[in-house]
Amino acid sequence: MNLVQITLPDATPRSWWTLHRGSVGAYALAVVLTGFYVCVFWFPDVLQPLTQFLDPLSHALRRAPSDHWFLYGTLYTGAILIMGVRMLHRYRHERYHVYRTSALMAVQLLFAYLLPATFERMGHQAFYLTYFWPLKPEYLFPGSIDTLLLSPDRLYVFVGWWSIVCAFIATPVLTYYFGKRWYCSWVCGCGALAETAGDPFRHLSNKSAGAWKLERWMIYSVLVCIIAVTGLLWWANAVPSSPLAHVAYQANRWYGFFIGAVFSGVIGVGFYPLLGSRIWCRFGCPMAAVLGILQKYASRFRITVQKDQCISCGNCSTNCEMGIDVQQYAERGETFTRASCVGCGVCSSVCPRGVLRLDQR
Amino acid sequence: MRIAIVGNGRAGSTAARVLREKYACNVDVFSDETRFHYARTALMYVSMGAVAPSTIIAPLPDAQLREIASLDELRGYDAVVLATGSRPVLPPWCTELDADVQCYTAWNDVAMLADARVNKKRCVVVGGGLIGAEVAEVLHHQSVPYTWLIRGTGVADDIVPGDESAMITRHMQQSGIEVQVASDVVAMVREGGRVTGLTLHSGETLAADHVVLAMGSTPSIALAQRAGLEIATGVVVDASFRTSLPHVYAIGDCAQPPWGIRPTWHDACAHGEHVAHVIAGGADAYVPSMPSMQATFLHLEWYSVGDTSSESDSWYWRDPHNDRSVRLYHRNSHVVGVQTLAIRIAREMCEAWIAQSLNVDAVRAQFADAVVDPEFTPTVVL
Repeated sequence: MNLVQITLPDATPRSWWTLHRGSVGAYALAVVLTGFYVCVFWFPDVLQPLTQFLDPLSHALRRAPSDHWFLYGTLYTGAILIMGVRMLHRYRHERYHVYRTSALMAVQLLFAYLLPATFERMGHQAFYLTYFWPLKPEYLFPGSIDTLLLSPDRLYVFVGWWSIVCAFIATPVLTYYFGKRWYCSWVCGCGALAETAGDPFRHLSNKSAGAWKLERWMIYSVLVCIIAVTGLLWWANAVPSSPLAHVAYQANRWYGFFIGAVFSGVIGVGFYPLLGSRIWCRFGCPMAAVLGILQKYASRFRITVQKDQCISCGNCSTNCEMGIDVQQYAERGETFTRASCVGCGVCSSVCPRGVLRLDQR
Repeated sequence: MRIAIVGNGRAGSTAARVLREKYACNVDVFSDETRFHYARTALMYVSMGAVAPSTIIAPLPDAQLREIASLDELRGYDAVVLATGSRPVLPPWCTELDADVQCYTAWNDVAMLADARVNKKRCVVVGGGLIGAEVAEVLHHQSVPYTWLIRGTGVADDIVPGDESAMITRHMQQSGIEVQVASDVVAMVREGGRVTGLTLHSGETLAADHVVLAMGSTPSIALAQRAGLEIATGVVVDASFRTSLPHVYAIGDCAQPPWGIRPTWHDACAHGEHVAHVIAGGADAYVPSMPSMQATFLHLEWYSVGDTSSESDSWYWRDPHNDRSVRLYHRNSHVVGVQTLAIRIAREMCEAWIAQSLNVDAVRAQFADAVVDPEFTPTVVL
């Protein structure tokens, strides 16, 4: 009998589109994506030919010339729709994914692309009705929410109230019944990109305990920052002569640069091929932080685990884009709720023994 | 205490862990296969590239890569646990494995199958059980040309009734997996030491460079036999896993306790844990849980709880709109077993029905309560 230590088999391709952790292709794609985001934020002129190409579409949709943000929005929506079709095909055997992916695609197309364009076409500012404070903090900043609420235009008043109701009433109520997923895996545009275009990268998320610890430090720090920035701005608004006013404006600028542009944009999507598809959602998003706290302490949502059925295959942990080591819970037969879980349901689908179930009963 | 464990599968490695962590025993694990424990049931996911090889591996401290030929080699130990598992059954037309003929039950089988893919060998899978279905799925997924031969009338027809087997077979065929049923192999053709084909009972010869045998398994008892232990099909043990020799225990697939051999992952875990309590903690007899099995054929999941042997009568329901079914096994209309296809069921609830001897109508009435399908799956109404 062969007693020689047996070598590991060759790395087997998952599918043609899959990137291996740390491979040349992964780094190359990361450079391309990161470069694109850097151009969008700071060197839009580089994208001029592409921007111009979309001019007819921009005129048709919003009666305005195309700009780099229109280009970005179009590519973003296109990526979600095209890769969404792939996602629908891949999980066609399970209705949860069919409904969820369809919802994400529809919300992106209607509420984050066509409706804002329509607002602009009507001569208004582009409003994104599916983003709320603290993910879109400016919707509750002074100079924005007060202007909206006091506006003679009923549309603006509606948008103002919509922001407040969604942030402070709908969020806790929906999260109580459905968990964080109602937003992260059914509505949010960042989630939509991660769940469609990001699906091939979901296995790249780090599952270590260290990453989990880093995640908690980072995401709650960002939440504290945005609460502080919002508070400071309102303070500065109330006491304009205060020396804090300057600090508040600077803090807001820094937050916009480091968190809004660098973290959520450049790193959040640019690093998909290196760190998995939910980097921003996992390490940075303050909305996810709020939803996570609600999910952990004020929600019916949990993942129920059937005891003694796990065969330790590791499919669940491998496919968790949030880096949760689901297998640990499955092996122990322990029903669990993790603040970071976005309820995408893929762990449950890839389990060959039906161990996991997203539950809200 | 010094304890030797022969075998690093689920039973052996669980016993080693509990003995070491709970009872601070000095444990040596011997294996002729790998220095680490790995999830044998998950080999197919490594083959498909769905999980990294490291994912299914667990380190095993103090494991030795050494074949134990005789129990005399383990004389210095206070107790010996045999966890030698099962070995594949080989057909009369092929009693030796080589570079062209493999099974799919061990770590190096993954490498062999990967080699067959890389070298573009024409593969033939023989056997329509769970392992045969796994290998066919792997080859299909990896776009390796293959033929899948099944002796019976459909996939898994030795563990599920004909209706379910037909549904599984159809599901796999619809997904592009080719199944050649009623194909009994009678001989293997070799030329110059290499496999070139398989001869079927019809007289037809099928070209093949690589053969994967998946024809069932049997307890691995060679070491126990040499030690003179009492053997039936497996190593005969009492309810505390004691063999006929003092201080020698047998657990997992190789053991045959009074309630029979149950070669499942969960039973192996439970045996491993219990034997540790027996050896080091003075625990009493093991009370086996109700039998249960789960498997997945491509996207079609199969669940079985309780006695689902063909000896009982059964009540069958098939969803007219979807490929899914429920079968309630009963004796004198008292439910003794539940089996479903494409319907996830809460095992504990099924066990409660069976323990309470509910009749078929009562189980039908509350069946929906036990369904744990993903959300939006159409409700099951029996």
